Amino acid sequence: MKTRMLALLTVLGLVVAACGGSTAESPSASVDAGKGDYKACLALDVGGIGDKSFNDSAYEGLLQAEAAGYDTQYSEAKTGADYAANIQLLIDEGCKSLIVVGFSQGEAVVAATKANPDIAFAHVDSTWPDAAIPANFTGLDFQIDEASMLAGYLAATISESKKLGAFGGQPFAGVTRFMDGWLAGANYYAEETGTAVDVLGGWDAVGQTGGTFAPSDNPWGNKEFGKTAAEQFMSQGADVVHPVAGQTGEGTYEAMLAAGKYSVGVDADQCLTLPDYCGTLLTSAMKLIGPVTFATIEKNYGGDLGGENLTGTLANGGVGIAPLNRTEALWTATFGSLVTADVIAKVDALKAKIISGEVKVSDYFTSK
Amino acid sequence: MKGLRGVLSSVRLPALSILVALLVGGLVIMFSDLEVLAMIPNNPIGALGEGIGRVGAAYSALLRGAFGNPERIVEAIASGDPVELARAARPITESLLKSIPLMFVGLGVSVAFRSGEFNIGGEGQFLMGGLGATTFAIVLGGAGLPAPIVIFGTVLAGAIFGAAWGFIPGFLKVRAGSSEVITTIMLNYIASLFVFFLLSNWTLIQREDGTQPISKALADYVVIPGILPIPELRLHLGFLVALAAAVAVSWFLFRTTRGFELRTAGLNLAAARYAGMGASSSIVAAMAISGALAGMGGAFEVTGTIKQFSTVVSGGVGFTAIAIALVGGTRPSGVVATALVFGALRNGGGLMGLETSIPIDLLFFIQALVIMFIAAPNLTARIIRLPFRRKSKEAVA
Repeated sequence: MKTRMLALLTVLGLVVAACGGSTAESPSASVDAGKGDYKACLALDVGGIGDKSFNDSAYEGLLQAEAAGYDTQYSEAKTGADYAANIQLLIDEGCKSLIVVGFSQGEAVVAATKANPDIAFAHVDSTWPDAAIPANFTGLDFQIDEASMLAGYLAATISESKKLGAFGGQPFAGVTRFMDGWLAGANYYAEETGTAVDVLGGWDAVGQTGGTFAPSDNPWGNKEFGKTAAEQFMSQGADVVHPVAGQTGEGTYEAMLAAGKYSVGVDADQCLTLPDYCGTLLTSAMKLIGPVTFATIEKNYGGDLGGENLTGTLANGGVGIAPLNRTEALWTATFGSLVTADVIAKVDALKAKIISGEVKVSDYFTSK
Repeated sequence: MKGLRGVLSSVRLPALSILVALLVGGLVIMFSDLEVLAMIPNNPIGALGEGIGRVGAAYSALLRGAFGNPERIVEAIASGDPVELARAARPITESLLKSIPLMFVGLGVSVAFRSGEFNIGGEGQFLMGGLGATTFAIVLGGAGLPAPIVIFGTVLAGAIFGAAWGFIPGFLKVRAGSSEVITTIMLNYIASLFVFFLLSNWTLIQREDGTQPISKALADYVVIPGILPIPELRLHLGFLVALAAAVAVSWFLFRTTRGFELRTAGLNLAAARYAGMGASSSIVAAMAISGALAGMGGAFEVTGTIKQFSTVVSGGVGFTAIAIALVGGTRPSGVVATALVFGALRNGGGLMGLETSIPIDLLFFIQALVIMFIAAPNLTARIIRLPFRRKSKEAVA
């Protein structure tokens, strides 16, 4: 039996020898000074390129860096064991600024940050585990509830039934924060106008419990569930639904569009990523991961390797809602008469209040 | 010479399957490249050359990623610089590291196969093993016990949790007649949800900040020793334990009465019962051993390799392991060899993705082809007319 194993290895050795002949020259380093010599890299989470969510958003930031003249490279993970391996591969490739995506990579980032003090690490969707943040680490977190509060307020304003719906993929903080803001926006509208607004789905932002979530065997790609959830919300009278569940939400958009009702997108400007649904997508609550990724690379290139946790807010442009002065024909056909200049002005006013600190999202977790 | 011929004939099919799968994978690389496709109408010969170049670049990166860059290894040895040595040796050690979970779960699936059980629950047993190891690492390590005791307790806990998760479907089968195919699949879901629930709610194991479903840093509680003198290399004790487990499984299956009973139950359950063997207990034992092996794999993966427990630690290992058991002929030696090859492919895929942007999914495609060719030997024999067999026939003539 041992000989059999040996023979198999021998055959593999032959394959090595056979393929060795066609070894391509690895591309030589760019001779340009500056950004061309500075390697910016991205270690993506499982899901990788094409997830139409945070991996893709971060990749957009890397493409922006490439366009700006940086030398770039990226890796994709398949399991937990790939995290540290991929980060090490990127370090071996000479990366100077390394952006790691996804909280699951936690320990791998921590270990690499400690072992490589000359390389700037940044972690999208996570922060350093304790207060002693190393000088070569930037935590990138997103105060998404600020953006979803604007979206919830806008939805409550244009809703005829004054009933909104929301559900998530799984009860992660990264998901439920959208639902916190959505609820707060509706409550803010109710307080401002004296008109009660119902938010269906059962999320309790104060206790951080309850809520409607997709079945966990396939939380992010279950379009059928997205559709069913939307139909249930509509049967209870809701006319604007906010799914926070990746591609599961596409089922919701489909159902809402078919019924002539409205939805609010998640993570990216989904009227651009899913143009077929522009006729139902009132707006999207966005984490601007791409711009933040690019800004971090620029910051690292400028010599600032980190030492801080950065939180994307409305104030610094790290989160936001998709523009309301759109020109897409599908969008204007549905929302042109609903989202009036008056409505936009009110949303802008709330945005200014959140930025100034006059309005705190957590103050509106319950209706008053 | 007879021995050599025996070896050749036993590895012929797996080796050819891998070769043919790599060839087909090469065609996919060639014809999925937009630049190559665009060249075809105007310059078909140039396109062919360009395509072959792409395949060469991809497979060259795959091999360097899996086994290291020969030039770099020679330079590193000449320089004697430990940092350079670590970097030069890292690819091969990472390949061995990636084969560890495949060996453990592959051995587990093989034991179940041998007793006639189709254990599709490797994924869940692996996760439960990771959960047991994480919990006991934190409890034992947190109590400040000596390192060898913590390591032993951690791995044992992983094996017991995995065994329990394998025992349930075995027990249900002999007592309630429920198909283990169904119950093991269902238990995968239960395991992943249970783990998710605990990681989100149980403060003993959840990371201190308590916002995300991820465990504490396990390196603070248990350190699985590395087996090479260079600390930068991740290859750890789990590799040696996996090899030892293969020897133990081989001895158990082919040298003990219990193993004989177990195999007999797998070959013909009715005959085993008629012969007065405890066929039912063989089934339960096989499933529990199968789960224990998968659980140990999970324990080493979580505490030794990743050093943090989350829901993404398994990544389909339970399903790849079924393929490995199949390709390895459910023999421990075959499982070890196949796991080494698949581990090397998986690891080399990292550098391939980095250098050529060909996603690692291509390797899952190649793996699937290998399995298909093994499962359909006549097809493979037609694609390549089995040169070894012809030669041996000529020798006889």
